[in-house]
Amino acid sequence: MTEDLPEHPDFLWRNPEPKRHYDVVIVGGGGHGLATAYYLARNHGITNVAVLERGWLAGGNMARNTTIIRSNYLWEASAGIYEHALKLWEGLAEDLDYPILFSQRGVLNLAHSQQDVREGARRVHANRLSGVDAHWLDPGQVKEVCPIVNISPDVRYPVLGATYQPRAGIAKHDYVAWGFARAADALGVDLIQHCEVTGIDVHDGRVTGLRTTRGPIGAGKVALSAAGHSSVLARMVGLDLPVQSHPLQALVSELLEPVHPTVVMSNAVHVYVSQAHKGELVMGAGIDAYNSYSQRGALRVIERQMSAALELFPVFARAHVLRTWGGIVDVTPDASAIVGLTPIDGLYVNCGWGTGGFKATPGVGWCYAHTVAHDEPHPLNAPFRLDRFSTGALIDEHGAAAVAH
Amino acid sequence: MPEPSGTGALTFRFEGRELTATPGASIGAALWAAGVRHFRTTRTLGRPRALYCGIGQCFDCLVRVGGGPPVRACVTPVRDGDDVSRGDTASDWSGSACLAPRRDPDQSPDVRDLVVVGAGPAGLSAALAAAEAGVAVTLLDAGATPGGQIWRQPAGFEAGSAAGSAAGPAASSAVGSTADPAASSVAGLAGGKAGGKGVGALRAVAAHPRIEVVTGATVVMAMPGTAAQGVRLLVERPGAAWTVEARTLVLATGAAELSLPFPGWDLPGVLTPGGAQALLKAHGVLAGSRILVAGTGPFLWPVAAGLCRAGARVVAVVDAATPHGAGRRLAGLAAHPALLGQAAGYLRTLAAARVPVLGGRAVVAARGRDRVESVTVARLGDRGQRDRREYPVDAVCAGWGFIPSVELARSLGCAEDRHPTRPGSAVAVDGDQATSVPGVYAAGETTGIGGATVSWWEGAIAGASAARALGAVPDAGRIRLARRRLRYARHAARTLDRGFPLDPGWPGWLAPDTVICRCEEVTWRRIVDAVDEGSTDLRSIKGLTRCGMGWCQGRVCGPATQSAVAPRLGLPPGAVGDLATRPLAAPIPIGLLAGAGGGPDGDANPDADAGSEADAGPEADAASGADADPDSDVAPDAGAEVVAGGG
Repeated sequence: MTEDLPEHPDFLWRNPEPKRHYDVVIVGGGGHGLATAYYLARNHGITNVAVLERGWLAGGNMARNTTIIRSNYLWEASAGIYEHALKLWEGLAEDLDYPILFSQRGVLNLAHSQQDVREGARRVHANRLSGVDAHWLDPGQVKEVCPIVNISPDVRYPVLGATYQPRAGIAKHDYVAWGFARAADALGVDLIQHCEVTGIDVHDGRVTGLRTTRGPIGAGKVALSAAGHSSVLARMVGLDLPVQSHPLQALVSELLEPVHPTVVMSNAVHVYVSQAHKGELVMGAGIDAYNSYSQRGALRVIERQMSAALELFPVFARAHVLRTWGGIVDVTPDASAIVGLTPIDGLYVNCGWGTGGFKATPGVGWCYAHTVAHDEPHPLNAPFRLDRFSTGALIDEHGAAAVAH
Repeated sequence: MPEPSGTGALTFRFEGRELTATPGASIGAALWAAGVRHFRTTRTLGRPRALYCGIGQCFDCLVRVGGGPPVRACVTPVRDGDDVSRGDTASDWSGSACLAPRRDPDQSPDVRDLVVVGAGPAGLSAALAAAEAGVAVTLLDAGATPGGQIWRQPAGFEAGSAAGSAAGPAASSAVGSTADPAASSVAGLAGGKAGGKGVGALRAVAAHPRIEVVTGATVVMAMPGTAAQGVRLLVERPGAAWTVEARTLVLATGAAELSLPFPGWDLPGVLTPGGAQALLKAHGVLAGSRILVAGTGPFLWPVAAGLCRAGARVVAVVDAATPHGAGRRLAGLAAHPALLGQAAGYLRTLAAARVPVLGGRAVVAARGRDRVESVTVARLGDRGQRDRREYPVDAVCAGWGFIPSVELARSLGCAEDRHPTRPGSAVAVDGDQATSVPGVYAAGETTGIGGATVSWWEGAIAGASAARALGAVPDAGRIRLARRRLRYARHAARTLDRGFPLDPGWPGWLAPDTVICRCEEVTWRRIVDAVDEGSTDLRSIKGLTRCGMGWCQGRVCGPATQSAVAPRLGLPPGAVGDLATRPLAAPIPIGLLAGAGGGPDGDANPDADAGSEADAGPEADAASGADADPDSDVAPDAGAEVVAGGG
């Protein structure tokens, strides 16, 4: 039977008025901003910190992603930060004293062509060299891990094998956000909702504060963590970030009896499916090709992907979709994130996570907090510097996700 | 066509028990008529549920047919030999089939000049006005027959064939005419006569050569079209889904009843007044034999009077508005003698049946084991509940007026107006019924609760505006008439709206264990906890409690939750946000969303395959709509209810 969700604690966070000045102001109250605030306080003892959120906490991509957690990325730099995140995920419920429902049910990434097979095998080898648990499964083994996958050779996208990371899985996204928010709040961080940043003050090349819809707020350091809107914020100080934003859709079904024991992704089909803790199917689609900040996408993208998904999972045909929604994926030219310093002293940037943002949450929070605290990158996020787009030291992760970007 | 239950012409099984039903009956009506009050068992609390809203909004009446996926009993017709079982617990996977996708999502869309969504008074009027101006109109409605909630016709009703042979004189003169059918309906309505049944309008629409009526078709999604201006709609009916592109769109999506939770409101036998009305009008089935009608607003009277006339014992009509306050606020109705006459008629019916009409009171609890057995009515006031009195009943109809249905407009980005005191919002329109989105017009209850007469005239203006946008020249005289009538009708609607305010103190009757969200069984205690834990808006409450995350996606509990938590958050209802704002206006099977055409039970549904072609769904229906049934064109008395302001 499906699980009942655990009760959450009695008190989550205060809703304080903003103070006149903070040592660090984090812009963006999503998962990354909240995790960064938490690790700033916990790892570095910096607690005079505010997190500004123009809407409500974790109401952006944190509330809109499909909660897949894995670390099997191709390059050492990526595997490094995602694997660091995965290790943190494994102890996060205890660390935050909050039931985040991290379920290590494994992730399959299906191969549908000989080229997919070779590419998948290459990733498995690369992952193992990076210390990531990775396996190559043939179609029969895929069927053992996930009995409802259709491995018939007579479909448009036949299953020829899959990469498999057993330690990967899903978590409950809301609980993750609340866990970080509550823990940060308990350490003295001010979480300020409904507070939009309208300007960034810079004097002599150094950031001094922010103008907001709730008045000016002085800041020793400002850490941008606003996903696709980071480029809007950076533009306020004349900084152009190489980030493009696209709508990405997902949908959720009615509650169903447990049927899908793992997570299945398919790059060729552009779909990824898991069954959440209560029993609903959570399915993600591909991105809309155009740039947009609107949190919705085109119907034909869903139509196309669901029709392909049904070939892989014929049993899903009669499950009702209860709601669909869109999030915004912020994508850089090499499909890897930007985490680090900017040309302006005291201003830091964290964005461009594409579809990797949720799974990276504790890892990037840890490293970004280090970057802000020490004014230099943590070794794990050092490769993700902004100037790599001029030096050419790119981290090409195109094709790393089920979403082409 | 429908007859009182018990003279069934077809047989079906429910949980192994053999039952009979009249042809055309919904599964819900057939089960209700047979005394069944346990359609499904809830997952968390294990409680029985049955019909609640009765019109496809709440998803409480889920059953399975032949072991298939859950369907709403209230809107699913029963068929001879159906094997119906309870829609218990989570869905299983038995009997699933592999579907081969057949529709290319990138193919050129099926483009229509004007699509009207909703075939109630506003939609019918819009369709007629535009068609008279020369525009080809596609009129979509989720109901089995056009008419909407207020002009609901008996199951199986056919307004007439396109040739007009079985229709009335107005309709038959319509062929080749540019003026008559709408004009005669309009004239009838203006005199307060044809508005009685809406049959004249239904006939005129059915007979009009430029109007294509598609019933049983739910618009589940609206999005910008591929052209610079225009809208794309995803339309579903059981077993089929297709997309239609509209150069212009009139949204006449009507309203839903506002439900306020009270202890025991999830017991079978507690329904909305509209649900009881739908059972009676469409299927001739009484909600109960001892019924209490409660809530607030002018809609309670025709419902109670209709139940009386159909033979039920109505034990009381309980309105939260005090007679003194309502009398003072309703003084403006002196300018509307027709309306007062209608009200007097209902009161005469209630008086003749010795039904007490109680003001300033509310149902504060319902009790019973597996179905409602009694209700407690109390006087409301500053000093808490007084004069508590228990009534033995087998049904309760409780509703607190109406909330505009704005899902489609919202997903298109149309601007909305908040009601100053009630939860929910209305689509904002200008004097031409144009929304803030070019090419999209709105009319009727979706723009604010005004009743059938306001809806009719707004529809006429919306249809004319859409026609003008398409380059046609609508009849200026009729638009002037519509504007004049509308001013008058809106005065009445505004007066009625002020006459029956929502008491902000209503959550006082909630108990900690009262279920607020029926789908996810979220109690009032959990919602209060979520506020205390730091929630600052409805979405946080939703995330913390799952309130509004079930089948109905907050359509039933959303407005009440908004109203109940607003004072606790120190905000007006409009400032706490909405629960349901996502693109899908109704659930749809993944197989249909994928463009797969027929569902796994497609063999039992003759339309299923046709629907896979983008344009075959509507045409299939137009063909079936031509089979007029000459016996069914006269509505029985139960269909005669109408009250301006009642929606």
